[in-house]
Amino acid sequence: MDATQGWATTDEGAVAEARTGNPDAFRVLVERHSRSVYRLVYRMTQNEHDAEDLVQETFLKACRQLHRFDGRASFGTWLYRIATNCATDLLRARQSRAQKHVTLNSDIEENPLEQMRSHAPSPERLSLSSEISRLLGPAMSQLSAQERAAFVLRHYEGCSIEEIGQALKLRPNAAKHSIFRAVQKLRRALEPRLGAAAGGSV
Amino acid sequence: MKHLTDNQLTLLYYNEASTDEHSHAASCEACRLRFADFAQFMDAMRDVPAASPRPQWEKRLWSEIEPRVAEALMPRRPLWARLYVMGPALAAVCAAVFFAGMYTQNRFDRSHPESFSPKSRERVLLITMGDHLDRSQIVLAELANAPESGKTDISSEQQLAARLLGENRLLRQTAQHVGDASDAALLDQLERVLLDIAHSPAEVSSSELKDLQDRIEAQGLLFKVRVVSAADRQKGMKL
Repeated sequence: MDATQGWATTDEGAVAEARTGNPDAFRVLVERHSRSVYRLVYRMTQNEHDAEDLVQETFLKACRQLHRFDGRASFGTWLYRIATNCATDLLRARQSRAQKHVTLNSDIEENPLEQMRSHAPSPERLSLSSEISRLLGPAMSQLSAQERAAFVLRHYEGCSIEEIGQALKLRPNAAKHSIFRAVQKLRRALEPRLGAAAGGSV
Repeated sequence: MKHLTDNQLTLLYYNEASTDEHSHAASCEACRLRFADFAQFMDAMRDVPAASPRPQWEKRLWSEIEPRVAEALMPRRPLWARLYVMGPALAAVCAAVFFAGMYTQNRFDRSHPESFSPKSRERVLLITMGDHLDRSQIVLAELANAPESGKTDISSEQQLAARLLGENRLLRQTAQHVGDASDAALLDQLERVLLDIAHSPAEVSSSELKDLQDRIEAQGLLFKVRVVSAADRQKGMKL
């Protein structure tokens, strides 16, 4: 591929060129967006292998549906929509399979200190963010797929409410309320543990 | 103004709060302290490092998807154009021969009884029917497998469904006329779905698409069409 090609400079140009059947143009889009899509789906699934599979699925779907991309949203937002749909489908399937399993909440509430000790890398005092990084994955699993997607898009990807609405096919108000619920659930799940950890380590 | 709720703190954190909420937070000591705690918590969540893919992952990603990308990006003619390039010439000839045969049958029967024997008419009918079902099958399959993505453009399927309707009607009447009840029933079922597709908007919402897909799926129409199409073609070739 000649990187100096004019079409390679913008997503719109690369999309138009890919539509003519040029795989190199689609490769430009993959290279430009694969890391952000990876981050998004990783935040949603908290699993490296799932994230890799989802990125692949996202780009293949995007490629097959490229003729349907109408340019109303940016290519990145459109891609996020596909990625969140793929991840949401996966999470919903997982959640329905895991209904019989013990939830993280009950695990932690039954034995919070054990949870913290078993994951502690050293006896040294842990910082707030490292505590959170340890607890965030399980806490995220208490969110519905939609709440998780809305929160990740807002908090980590900096998407506006409108973009989140477009990506998740929600009205802005519904997108906003998904974020509210996500934040409430995360605070309920994390703050007591963080307080205990901070208190214990000081 | 009352103290800020948790949701208002969230809006404040994301810079989406109203002016009133901003000024309350600035002037109320209690809310300011609550917001400081809240923001610290939210910032700490944001500080959690983003996962990085494994080394060489991007190269591997591309090498895994490249063949399928190249295949998917191959230039596609519109659905109806593809159909009319592939088997349509044969279909047109078959249909013309068949209908011409029906029209002239009585005139020629006496003088040239061998020209349009019942066997050859049946053969043409079966091949025409098989071809018609093949093209209908493509419309149904395209819709049944269309991905949900907000608005879906079904204009090419719609155009083809409209074209197939007239032929379907004629074949249904012929099947009824010759007493082939099962083909007539299938064509009747197909006609109603083709009619729905032809009269749908060119762009359907995901719920409208789902309705169409449910209709196709619930009646097992695609499967029936596939089976009858294959059977008719086989019978036609044997004759």
